[in-house]
Amino acid sequence: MPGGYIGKILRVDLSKGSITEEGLPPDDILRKYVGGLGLGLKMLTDELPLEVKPLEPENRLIFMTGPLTGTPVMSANNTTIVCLNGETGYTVGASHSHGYLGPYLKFAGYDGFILQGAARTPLYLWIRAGKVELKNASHLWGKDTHEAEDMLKEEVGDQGDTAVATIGPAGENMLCGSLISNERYHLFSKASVGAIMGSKKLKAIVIDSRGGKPFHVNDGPALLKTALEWRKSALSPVVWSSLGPKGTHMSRWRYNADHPPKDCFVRAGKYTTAVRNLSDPELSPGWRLKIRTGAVKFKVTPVACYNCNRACTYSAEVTEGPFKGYVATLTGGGETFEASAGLIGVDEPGAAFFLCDYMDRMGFDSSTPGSAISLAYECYERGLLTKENTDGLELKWGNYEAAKELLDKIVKREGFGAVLADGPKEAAERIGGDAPKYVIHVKGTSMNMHDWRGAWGTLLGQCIAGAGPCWQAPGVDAYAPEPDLGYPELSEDPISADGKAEAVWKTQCKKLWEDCIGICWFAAWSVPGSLDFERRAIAAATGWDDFTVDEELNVGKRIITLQRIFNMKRGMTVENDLDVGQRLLDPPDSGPGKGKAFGDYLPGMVKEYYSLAGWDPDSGEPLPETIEVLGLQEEAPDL
Amino acid sequence: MNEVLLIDPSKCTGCRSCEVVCSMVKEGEVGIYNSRIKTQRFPDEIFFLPRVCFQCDSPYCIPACPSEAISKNRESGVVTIDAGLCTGCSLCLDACPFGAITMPHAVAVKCDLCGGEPECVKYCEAEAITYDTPREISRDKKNVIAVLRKLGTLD
Repeated sequence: MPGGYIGKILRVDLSKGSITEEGLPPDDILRKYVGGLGLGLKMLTDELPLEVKPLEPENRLIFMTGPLTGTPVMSANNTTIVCLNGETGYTVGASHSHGYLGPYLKFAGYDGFILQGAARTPLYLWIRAGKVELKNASHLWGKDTHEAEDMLKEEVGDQGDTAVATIGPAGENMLCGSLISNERYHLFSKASVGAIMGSKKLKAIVIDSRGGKPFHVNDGPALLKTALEWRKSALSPVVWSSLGPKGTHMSRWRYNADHPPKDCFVRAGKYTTAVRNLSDPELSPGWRLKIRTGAVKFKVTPVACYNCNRACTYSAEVTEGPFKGYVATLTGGGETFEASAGLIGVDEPGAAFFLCDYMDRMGFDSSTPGSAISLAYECYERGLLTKENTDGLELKWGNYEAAKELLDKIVKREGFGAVLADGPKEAAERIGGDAPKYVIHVKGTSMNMHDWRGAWGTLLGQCIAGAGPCWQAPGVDAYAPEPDLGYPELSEDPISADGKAEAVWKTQCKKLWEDCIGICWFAAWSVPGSLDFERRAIAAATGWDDFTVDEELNVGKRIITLQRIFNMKRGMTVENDLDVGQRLLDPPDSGPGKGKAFGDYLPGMVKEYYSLAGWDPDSGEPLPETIEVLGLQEEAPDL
Repeated sequence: MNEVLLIDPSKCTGCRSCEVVCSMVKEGEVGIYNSRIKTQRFPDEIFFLPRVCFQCDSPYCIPACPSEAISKNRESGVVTIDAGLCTGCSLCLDACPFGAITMPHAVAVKCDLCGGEPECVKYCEAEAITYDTPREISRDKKNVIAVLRKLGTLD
């Protein structure tokens, strides 16, 4: 077995109640797919029958680490779930989370585990070094993610060395957009993985690292040397989320009063913050400033993931306003604030922090219910909905109390909540009238929430991502350039179609390779020299000394095309890549993109992207020579 | 006065970088349970405490060792365990009030400051671990001891 891998995975069949150990595939397969997303996708493609639906017992949740997970390389803490996507129903699902789960899993003796089948009564999976059990979780069913985590930690006698991942009520009720919370700060939030876990009646996964064993890498000193140089490069000013001065962590720096508020607009562009269902981009800068000005007074404490010097995760105690004293446990960037508060015009900072945290507690990725809720707010403001339709709730911009009540109704599929419970596209059709004109969605579900009409490359990336809307193809229009791919600066014209398909294609190859090796994307995104650091780290860990940067990008390309094959076998067509909510396609009424319609250019950009990927530009079908070059003949027999 | 590893728990984010790096350097393996430095995590309290040998002036471990395997180098200040003399009786583990000695294999091991260039410090951008003379931040060091006492049993 190459270094960096344990060489063992678990298969947990919840229908049978059986737990078995299996080996990893042979070296040639490992080198082709490496780990994480790639290896998980290869396994899923090989064993998932075509006719299976996402919430049926046969669907898999494949948790997979990479060869660098757990190692001294910066932020080497990734675990990826691969499954049939619970939101789209016909694409791959890919969901990443960090924290301690992946490293602890490897110390407990496994590279990953496959969940399949469905239990009759609620269970949780308890993984310890040398002992793996399914335990009764009836007492945890119905608890929110934070309560369930606390109860489980108490139950297993945690002393700070246990990772607990749980679903909330949203996952138990198998709702669109439900997530798996990984120690409350880190969330597997894409592809409705929470609903799939709920359909299997598995409430939680507990990984206890105590008594675990260290693992082997091929060349420790070389790995350490690379790790240290990589960390230094990650502090380079080009990187979007570098540490503040004197080692201030990302989370603390974001809310540092000395950090001029205007700086927080520089990287993302002034008008990309998602506010009021994207109805008026001019409101974007003001909302952002108000939240941030309030939040700098909150008590922010960084809580880092395993081996990470960024510490983008943090606890925040609200220190003033109606939510004074509330402690929220949050991660990373602004997406969740925009999805749960910005979209409905909530600009009370404490309320915004509360709503983000409440989404986590209920077990929701905020963007999916957030987009459905914000659609309802806009329809209400426009008179399309009245109190009679909304169970008496007054859905006026900024009403956070109504948003909480509405979310509770969605979780229970109760009254008006049931209208919104199956994603924003479905909600628009159910509300009827002009509602489909206002809806934000990509492939029926929601995206990583910012107003990407101010960054067309990134929006294109959300539309063509093979795992449904997610961060698979960032482009170079917002937040961070990608110097290793020939983009030392952000693009000059983010609101245009020129060169977007190419930037999206190139950044996707890099990102999907990085999704395989076991690191957090924040350790690699826009870091100068990252491709070479990754090559050296993989060589040092596994012993693949002749691994090249081209081979890295080829792993990315292989995954992109294998995702396409997986999706097309399940009926996906070009139409699905153009299945985008009208609000995103239509020209904004204000802001810098005023009058320019992304929708007019989307079909052309999609065609251009298909050509770059080596697919037929009209049908999106991978060309025979592409399949041959990438070595996917076995995976694509009937295309 | 010699330089030692100084800990400021108020700066620690609990990421365990110090442990995995130490394991790689000292054991040649990727792990967190065979490192010389340990970070005790208290996620509920959001409190994280790296624990490592203070290279005490009058170490508790030295008189506890029946085979005289532990000695303090008066020049460098480093307290070391002679693996050849150590019988693995673990009395030093009990004697150290700070839990700074461990026994991942047959003999006891502890921090030796990597010969004057401690690797963990290089990976701690938060500056929760620094390499300095204790006089500079002796107050912080006392705080650590106070916290350790308050927490009681740590292992």
